[in-house]
Amino acid sequence: MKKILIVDDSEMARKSMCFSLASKRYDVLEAINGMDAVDKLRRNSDIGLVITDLNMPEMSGLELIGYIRSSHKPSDIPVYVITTESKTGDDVMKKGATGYIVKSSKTSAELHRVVEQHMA
Amino acid sequence: MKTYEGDPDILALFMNTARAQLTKVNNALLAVEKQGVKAETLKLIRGEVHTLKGDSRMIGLDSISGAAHAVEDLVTALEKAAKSERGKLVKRIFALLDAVEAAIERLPGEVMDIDPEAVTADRAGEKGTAAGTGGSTGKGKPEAAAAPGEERERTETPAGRDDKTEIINLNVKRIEDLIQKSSAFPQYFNKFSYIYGQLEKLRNDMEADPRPAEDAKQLASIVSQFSHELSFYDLGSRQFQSEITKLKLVPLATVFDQFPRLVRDVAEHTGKSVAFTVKGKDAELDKTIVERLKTVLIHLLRNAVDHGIEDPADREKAGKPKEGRVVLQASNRGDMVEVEIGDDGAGLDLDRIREKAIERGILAREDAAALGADDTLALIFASGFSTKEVGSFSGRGVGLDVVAQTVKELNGQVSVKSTRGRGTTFTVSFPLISSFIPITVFLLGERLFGIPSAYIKSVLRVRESDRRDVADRPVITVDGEDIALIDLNAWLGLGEELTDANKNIVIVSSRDEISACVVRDIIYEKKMIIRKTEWLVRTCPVVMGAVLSGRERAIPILNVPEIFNKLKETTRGVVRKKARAPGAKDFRQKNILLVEDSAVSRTRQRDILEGQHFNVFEAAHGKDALALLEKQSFDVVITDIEMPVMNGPELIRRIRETEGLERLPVIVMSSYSDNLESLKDSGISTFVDKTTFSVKRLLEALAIEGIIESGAGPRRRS
Repeated sequence: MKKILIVDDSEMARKSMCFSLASKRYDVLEAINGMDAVDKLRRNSDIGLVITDLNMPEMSGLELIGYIRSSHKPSDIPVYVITTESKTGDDVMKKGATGYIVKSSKTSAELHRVVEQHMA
Repeated sequence: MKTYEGDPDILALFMNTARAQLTKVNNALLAVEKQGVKAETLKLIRGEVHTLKGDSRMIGLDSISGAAHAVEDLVTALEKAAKSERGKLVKRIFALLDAVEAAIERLPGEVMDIDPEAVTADRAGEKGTAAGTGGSTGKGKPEAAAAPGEERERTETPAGRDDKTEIINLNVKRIEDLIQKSSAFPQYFNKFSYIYGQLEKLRNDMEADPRPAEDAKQLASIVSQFSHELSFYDLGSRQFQSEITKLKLVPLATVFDQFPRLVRDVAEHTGKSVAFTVKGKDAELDKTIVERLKTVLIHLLRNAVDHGIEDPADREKAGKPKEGRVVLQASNRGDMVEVEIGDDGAGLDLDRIREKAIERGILAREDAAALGADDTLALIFASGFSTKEVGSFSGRGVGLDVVAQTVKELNGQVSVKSTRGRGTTFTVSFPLISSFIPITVFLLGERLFGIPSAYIKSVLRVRESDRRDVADRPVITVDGEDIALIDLNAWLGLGEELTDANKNIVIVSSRDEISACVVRDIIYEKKMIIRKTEWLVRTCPVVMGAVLSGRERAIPILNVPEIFNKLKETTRGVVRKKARAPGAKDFRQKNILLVEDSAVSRTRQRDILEGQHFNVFEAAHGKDALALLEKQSFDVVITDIEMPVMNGPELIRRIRETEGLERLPVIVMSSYSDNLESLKDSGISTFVDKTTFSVKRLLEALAIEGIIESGAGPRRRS
């Protein structure tokens, strides 16, 4: 089965997503910012889904999407943005995100829906 | 009241992260207050607050994320605001941060609502930001506004805090060191196994052809080799243990970083001007002590600013700089950590202390004149002593006596040095590692005693009908089992009779002994440090030490194993062997013969079986086993198949041929499952596959053989 890459500089956010996915036996990798994510993508050709935060030090979520869509192979990996503000959603879709999830108490359910859709 | 229902591990992570974020933001805001608005500082604040907002929203704590959002807005306003407006905005942000902190500390018992408008409006016009934290205390009367520090203290230690998951951030280097050190242990196992093999070989050689002088020489060489390895093992295991204990240490920065804000608030509240310096926050201390040390330091810092440092005008008059200095400094010294809180204020007034002590009845007037400076200073820690009138800022509520008490409970020491006109320095020192253990405190007659809770099996109410005498000794019947009653009154020489006042029974057990003590009431259970009190232990050997509770009150802790020892000496067998748990009824005292040539497998199986309270005898092959079977009766034999000298099938054949052993249960444990067929007729009953070996499987096999079932009589040779 392919792996899921979770990119967030908040340990709290990362862990809560990872715990939630790992409990459903998904294989999850973590990255602490865009730069780290690029590194993980290069080393793991079996990443099938990327979930990324936007505001991160060193390399942001948008820059990460830019990298994946222009330089990564395959460049069509689904990338979902996880964001605090719902208004940024449409914006990130224009920049190449496959979709977005707004941080809320429903994040976990939303996340599982996205993962099931792409990892089935 | 709404409670938090989410995953406790995630919540613990959130709380830990959020506390660190709040500390960082608080300190960044202090920098804004002192040095003005800098892009760098605002960026740091925004980053932390934004993460807090996302994190809290993620786990459904919308009130906190709402407050964080309000902080973000205020930071934006702060950036654009005119210089004159900044102070007000910073205070509003402080107020919001306090509200968030209070809300976090109430989790998971209460999910507090925060109304950012109310929180910020409340304070904007007030002096200082020291009023009660928003939300829950919104209705507080203005004059009842909590002093800085007090509010924090309260929110830091709400009831039930002990139940929350505690998280420590670990230094990866430290873990790597431990892994590195732990790798030595398998090596020791190999070395010991090698020596064991040599010993076995020697024994076999000796059996075949004894040559005393030569054998003795060989044995001596093995023994010396063993002793050499053992000393290294001892050293290695001690180091390992000490390193593992150190994992509990956290840097003091986690607490110290919260103090600049506290000192600022107190200074503002009392109209002092203070420069605060923190040194040595890398020093480390036990996580469980750090939290309690914090309350101590809050008291001392508040005192330093409020009582120590003089008003700016007075300082100028005395020829000192207007701004007072308060220094907090920590250092590790061997097994201790030492924390100093120093100020360059007025210093303590010895005459005033003596006067106050006399007034409070702590010191007799005739002794006062002869009292030296150090002894006089020590008086300020006495119970009920406070140099300022009630109602003044730091003098309120609790004082230095509480500081002294807390420090004592932590096995630490506190001292003070002071020079009139030059300042005061308090020094607090603690052992690095605490050893809190749960103690159950009970009332016996009119006195309090404690027992480490680990020894307590259960607590019951006594009915008169349960109590009777067997062979002139009192017993009580619990679940059909007679348990000897210990008359603690007599043991402790209290000279009180077991009266009707003593209605509760504490069942204590240690190793395989069980007994019951009659007590009046259980008062509480609390984690405490047992202090070894030499004189007490000498006068009364069944006491292992004492715990300090409340105001200087020492509660003796009973030494349960010692009580059992003494009982055995005097009553010869009246203390019963411990009752067996129902399912484990016949586990005890069963003799098992374990036949296995691999020392590694044998050790592992033996450990498991001994863990189940079997008596395990070991043999390396069939011949060994037969020799043991002649000397000793067994309830079951567990044997391997492939072995040197005499293999499993041969052993089983010989057992079946021996009179009295025809029906002895034999369990075969081997990875050679294909050999099973040849064993079919040999009379083995149960087979355990070694490759899928598990404790459960082994116990199942024993149950099939009737070894661990109640009532199934062991088949012994008669």
